[in-house]
Formats: sequence, structure tokens, C-alpha cells
Amino acid sequence: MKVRSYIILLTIGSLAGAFSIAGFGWFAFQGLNSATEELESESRKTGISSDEFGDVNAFLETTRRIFESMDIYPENYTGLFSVVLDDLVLAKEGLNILAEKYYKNYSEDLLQGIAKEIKEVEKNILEMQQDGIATNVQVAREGNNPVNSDYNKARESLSQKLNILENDSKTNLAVANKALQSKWEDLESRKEGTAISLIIAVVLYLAFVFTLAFLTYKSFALPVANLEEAARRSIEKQQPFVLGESGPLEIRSLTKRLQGLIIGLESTVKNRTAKLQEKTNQLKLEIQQRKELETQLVHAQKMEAVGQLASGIAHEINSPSQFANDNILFLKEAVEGFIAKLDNTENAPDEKELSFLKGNASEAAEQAKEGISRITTIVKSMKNFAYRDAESAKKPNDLNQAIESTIVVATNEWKYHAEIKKELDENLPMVPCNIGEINQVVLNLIVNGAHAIRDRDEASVKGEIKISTKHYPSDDCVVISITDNGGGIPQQVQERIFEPFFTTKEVGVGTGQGLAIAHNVVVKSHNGQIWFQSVENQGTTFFIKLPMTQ
Amino acid sequence: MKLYCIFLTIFLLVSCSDDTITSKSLPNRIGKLFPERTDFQLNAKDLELLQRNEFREFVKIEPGEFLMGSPESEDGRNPNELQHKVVLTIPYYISKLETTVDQWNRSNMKIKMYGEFEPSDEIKLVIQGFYNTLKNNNELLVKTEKKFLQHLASFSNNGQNEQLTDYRKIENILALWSNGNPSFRNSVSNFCSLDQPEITKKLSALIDYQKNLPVSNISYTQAVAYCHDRTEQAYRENLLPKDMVFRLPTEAEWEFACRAGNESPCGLGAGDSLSGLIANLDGSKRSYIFGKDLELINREALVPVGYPGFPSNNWGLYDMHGNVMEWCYDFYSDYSMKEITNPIGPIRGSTRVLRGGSWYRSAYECRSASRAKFEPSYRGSETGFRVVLGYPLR
Repeated sequence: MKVRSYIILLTIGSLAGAFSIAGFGWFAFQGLNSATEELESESRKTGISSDEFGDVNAFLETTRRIFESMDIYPENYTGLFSVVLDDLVLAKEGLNILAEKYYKNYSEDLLQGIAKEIKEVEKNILEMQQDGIATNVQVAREGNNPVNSDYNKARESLSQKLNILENDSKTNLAVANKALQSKWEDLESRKEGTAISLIIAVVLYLAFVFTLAFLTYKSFALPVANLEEAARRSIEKQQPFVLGESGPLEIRSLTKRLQGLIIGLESTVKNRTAKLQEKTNQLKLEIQQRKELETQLVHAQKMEAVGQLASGIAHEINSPSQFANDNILFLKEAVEGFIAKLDNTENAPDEKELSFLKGNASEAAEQAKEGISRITTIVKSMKNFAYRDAESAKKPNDLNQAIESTIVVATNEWKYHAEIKKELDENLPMVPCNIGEINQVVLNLIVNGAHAIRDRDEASVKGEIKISTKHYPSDDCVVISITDNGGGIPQQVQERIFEPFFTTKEVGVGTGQGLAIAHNVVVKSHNGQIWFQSVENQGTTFFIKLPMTQ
Repeated sequence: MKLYCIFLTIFLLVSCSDDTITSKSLPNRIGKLFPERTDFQLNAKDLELLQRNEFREFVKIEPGEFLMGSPESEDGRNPNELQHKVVLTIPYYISKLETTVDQWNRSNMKIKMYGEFEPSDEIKLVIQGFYNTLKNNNELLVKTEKKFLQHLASFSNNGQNEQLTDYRKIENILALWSNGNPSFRNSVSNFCSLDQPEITKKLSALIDYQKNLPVSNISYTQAVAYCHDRTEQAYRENLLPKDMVFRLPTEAEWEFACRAGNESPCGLGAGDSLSGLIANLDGSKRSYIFGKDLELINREALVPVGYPGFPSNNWGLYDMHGNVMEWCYDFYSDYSMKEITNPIGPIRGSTRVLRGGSWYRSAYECRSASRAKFEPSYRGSETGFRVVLGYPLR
């Protein structure tokens, strides 16, 4: 069954029951009321307080009062006849009423008889009135005259009939009372019966309603409660949703669906979690790759720089190596001359030549050594510069030395346009940094400065690149500044110079990565700051601020 | 559940069943054992009799039918005025006027009604004149009753005690005045600075006024006794038409006569208006009267029957509304809707009906249909009656 069916059933049941009881009560009490009314009107008709009894008594009383009044005749008759005649009027009206209303209860003969006697009595009384009062009847008759005896006869006869009437009336009353009594009793018992029936009906109705309510509770509310409990348990304790299907159609269907839903939910969550994990892993991988890529990019840029520098460096190395080579060739010549002298071979140099060799050999060796030394310096600088941290860990490094090396590496870039002026802080502490990356930054800035000087409009003033380092113990930081007196950065591009791929150089000359990488290295890798001050046609100063604690 | 329903239904059906009533054959109706009187043709002698002075005040009311009670639309209506049709088959003669003090006192009734009243200042002055003159007249003083003298004295003392007098005492004074010698009359006349004929005139007028007031303070029993007495006197003097008696009107006879063919609230004129202007009633407030007359009049006392200025109804009857309430024959009972012929009310009861309202009542209580009731022994300043000459009621 559906929930709706339960509710409809419950409603219809309750309403039907209530209406039935109300209707039953109404009908029953309507019936009782009408019966009571009927009985009351009947008792008004026949009982001791009935109209009939009252009318009969009034009639009897009035009529007998005539006799009583007439008893004083003829001793005192002033006003007597008027009183008697008034009573006669009432007696006649009374008999009329009896004959009209209660003819069922009294024999016609009796009533007719009484009427006849009343007429007789009236006739006699009127005659007596004439005798007693009228002045036209000269002789008042004696007490035993015929009229008197006629009256007495009529009175006697009427009196008897009145007695019969009274008896009849009393008998009627007794019968009626008895009938009424039994009817009242019947009515009482009927009332009682109705009340009991009504109580039974109410009890039955209550039982019916309670049963319905219980059934509804059992088959509707209970499954819902169970469902709620199961769902709660399932959610709180993270157990699988287990519940047998019971109750109305909707509840069963709901249970089934909830089971399906929860199972589906679990697998969905698993799926999603797996996917998420996969994506996370992928993301991690990508981040790692990106980091590697970034490192590689920095390195590549460095290598690019190194590549760009390579020809200059080759040139740099070429001169001392030529120089060393010449000296070594001279030394070789000198050594061969000395060996020939020692061996006294014929091609041994003469004394003059020997003294030249002797005089210049140590100097040549010295010069060769110097040439080699210069090469060594360049190579060492290059090595320093190209140093690549395997894991980008930040170790304390000597910034001054790193800057020196960089200057050397970049020699070929600046030496034709500018002079390097170093103002390195001698008391500079070891700065924790990734020195390879910092080298890269400094190199970029020196090269940029050199290029700025090279590209400036007026060449009259000697170009100068000033590099300084300074320790600020109060701020616990180190600031590197690189100042050139080149053309400056145009106002309109100042905001964009740290953007990747932004370059003012011709296509194919610059990659636009230099300053972007510098920014990246200083700000992101070292939590430092990089900024600049630039005045057009006067020069630019870049500042790099590195914190002493990473 | 279905079982419950079925059980309940059956149970209810069984409970609701009713016993059937069996009928039996009824005896025949008997009809009226004393049918209505049909011989009310008066012979020549009786017709002649009715022309006499004694019957001058009576108006013959011919048989007819009318609607007794009031329609539900009538203002001031009482629920006991259920309207129903009444047929009167017997003619009757009803007095145009309410029974007067004089009529009452001339009957053989033991209790006389002299009607106490407070005299006007002028009359008081006359009385004081009498007293002063009497005091100084030893001859007359001896003849005069002591009680009467005290009564006169009470007016001379600027009487705080007794301010009331009655017309019998005024009659005594008038007798003294008429029999008094010239010096006595002069003395009185000088005292109150009135002409002698004027004093005679004023005293006579006062007596006339008081005698012609309707008799009040009459119980039902007294009213009936008066009728009996009058019947008996007439009977003795052979002054009664054949079979007729003096009696009180039945309620139906009274209302029939009062309406005089008028079905409106009041029997006077068009019947839609009743105020102190045309009847002696309490018309002291607008809400006490109805109709077009807006004068607020309350005389606060009885007025003589047939008061000048008061119109009679269509059949020539006076004072049917107001003045005194009039006892009717009937025991009081509620009307029935049924048409009824010659009703005389029930044969038993505890109160009798009074009709017509009084000087003390509002116009609404004086309507044709308005009913009052009192125990037959009750009497008050409002209760009087009107006599009917007619056939015995049954």
C-alpha cells in the first residue's frame, strides 16, 4: 500500500466513525426527544396535570357550585341568580369543551344526559328566578312548590351523572397514569439502552481509530524511523547501508534507492579519489619537471651567455697562449742552444748568442708562466662562473670573488667600451646563495651595462661600469649595485623590463630572458629584491639585495 | 477494519429503528352540546324598552367577524397578540362610556367610590371660608358632624396633614351653602372674594366632574357584582329585554367594539395614530406615542368619560383607549391560531383580562390589540370597566 492510501484510509476511517457516531447519537436522541415530547404531550392530555383532568374538574366544580349556591334559596336570593347563571354559562362552556375535545374518553350518552339535565336545571332556575325576583309574578311560590321539586329532581339526576363523569374521569386518569407510567419506564430503559449503545459505539470507534493509528504507525512511521536510523548509522559509522525493505511502497522504494545510492556513492568516491590522486601525481611530476626546466633554463641561459662569451674568451686566451707559446719557442731555442753548447756541437751558438739566450731565458720562462697563468685565471673564472649546483642548495659563498670571476669572464664584452671600477666591501661576509645563479645575474647586468654604454649616443665620455658590494648588518643583508653611465632605460619600458621575452634589442640578438631570470633568481629563489634607478642619457643602477639568512 | 465498519453500520441501523404506532377506530365527534343562540330577534316591547333613557348610553353591535390580535408588523406588539379570525354571531349592546363613579355609587354596591382628590386653590379658599364662618356660627356648628368639621379645619391650618378631599364632602359643603342663610353666604363670599352664584357654580361643576370620572380601583369581582346588581335591579323593575343581562364584555366583544371595523393599531380615526391628544394616556415622551400627532400630553389623572375633545370611534364608543383599563369576562390565556366563534376564554384560570390601557400607560399599551391581565381580586387606580347588555354567554 502507498502512504497516500494509509492517510486516506485513516482520514476516511476517522471521519466515517465520527460521523457515524454523531449521526447515531443525533438519531438516537432525536428519537428519544421526540418520544419524550410525545409522552409529555400525552401526559398533558391524560395525566393528573392534563387539560382533560383540569377541564373535567373545572366543569364538575362549576356545576356543583350551582347546587351549593341554590341551597340558600329561597331564604336569601339577592344576587343569587346572577351568580348561578354565570356559573351555568361556565358549566355549559365546560360541557361543550368536554364534548368537543374529549369525546373519545366519555360515552356520548353520559355527556348528552348531563347536557339535558343542565338544561332542565337552567329552566327550573330561571323559573325560580322569576318567582323570587320578578315583580310581575305576584305570588312567590312556596318552598315545596312544583318548580322547586322539579329543580330538586333535575339536580339529583344531574348530580348522579356528574358523579359518574367524575368516576369515569378518575378511571381514565388511573388508566392513563398506568399507561404513562409504563411508557415512561419504557422511555427510561430506552434512554439507558441508547446511552449504553452510544458508549459501546464510542468505545468501538476509539478502538477502531487506535487500531488504524497503530497500523499506520507500524507500517508507515516505523519504517521511516528505521530508514532514518539506518541512514544515520551508515553515515556516522561509515558502514555500508544495510536495511531490509519493509513498509509502504514508497518507503520500500526509498530504501532500495538509498541502498543503490550509497553503494554508487562509494564507488564514485573511490573513482574520484583515484583520479584525483593520479592528477596530483601528475601535477607533482609537472611541478618537478617545471622546476627542472627552470633550472635548466637558467643554466641554458648561462650556457648561452657562455657561448656568446666564448669567442671573446677564446680571444682572451689566444693572446696569452700566443705569448706563452712564443716564449716557450724561445725557451726551446735557448735550451737547444745550451744543450748544443754543452755537447759542443758545431752548430752551437756563439758566445754573443749564448749571452742573449742566457739573459732572456729566465725572462721568457717568466713570461710564459705569466701567459699560462693568465690563461689559468680565465679558465678558472670560467669554471667558477659555470659552476652549477647539482641541487640548488644555498651555501655560504664569497660574493666578491664570484663577482671578480664574472668580470673576468665578461672581459671581452666590456673592455672595448668601458672600464670596470670595483668598490667591493672587504668585510663582506659569506652570503648564503646559489652562487651560479647569482653569477648569472651579475653577468647579465654587466653585459647589459656594457651594451648600454656601447649603444649610447655620445662616445666622448669614457664608459664606466661601477660594481659595488656592501654589507648592511643593521638590515642583515648584502646589496650589490651595478652602475653604468649608458643611455638609461627609457621611461616607457621601465615597468616592463622584468617581463620574460621583453627586449629592446633587435630580433635574434636578445632573447628577453636575462632580466626575467634575474628577477626570478633574486626574488623567488633568494627572497631578495632587485630594483633599479635610471636616468635617461645618464645611466642606470641596478641594486640586488640579498638577505643574510635564507 | 472493514469488519469494524460493517459491525458499526449494523449496530447503528439496529439502534435507530423505531416502534410503529398502531391506530384504532375513533368514536364519532359529538359536536357542541349547547349550540350558539340563534333567536335574538327582539320583540316590539323590548325594542321600545331599549329606547328608554336607561339604555341611551348603549350602542348595538351587530354580529360580524374580524381579525383579533395584531399583525407581526405592528409596532410595540406583544407576542401574546397572535392574530386570528374571530366570528361573533350574537349581537350585543355595549356602553359608549366607561362605568362612572356616579353610576357605581347609585348601584347597591356596599363600597362607594367617592374618589379622593386634591382640590384647586380656589376651592381650598372656599373651604376655608366655610370653616371660618362655621366656627363663628354656634347654631350651625352644633348641627355639623365633628369629622366633617375636622376635615374642613385641615384646609384652614394650611393643612400639612390632609390635603385630599372627595366629592361627597364637596356635596356636603354645597348643601350647607345652599341651605345657609344670607349672612352665612355673605360671610363665605366675602372671605374668598367670590360672587355667591359663582361659588355655587364652581362647587357644582367640581361635583359633576368628579361624578363623571370613570370608576377606578375596581376588582374583577366587584365589576361582576356591579353587573349582577344592575341586572337584578333591571329585572325587578322589568326593565330588561327578554333573556338579556348586564355583564362584562368578552375579550373578543371588547376588541371587536374597540376596532369598530378598523384593523389598524388603534380604533380612532384612521387608526395609525394614538397620543394624548385623542385619548387619556401617558404621552409624555415621543417614544410613548405613535402616529402623526407629536404633542406630548400626559394628564396624570383620570378624566371624565366622554371628555370633550376626545373623538369616539366609528361605532360611537369613547375612551376605549386609555382612561381606565377595562375588565373583560375572560380568563387570560394565549390565543390559538384557529378561527373561533363567540370565544369566551377558557373555563379555568387564575387571571382575568383587562383591555384598552389606562391614563398611566403609553400609547403602545393602549392599542386595540394590547392585553393586560390581573388576578380577579386585584384593584388599582387603573382598573375600571364597561358594561355590556347582552345575552348570557352560553
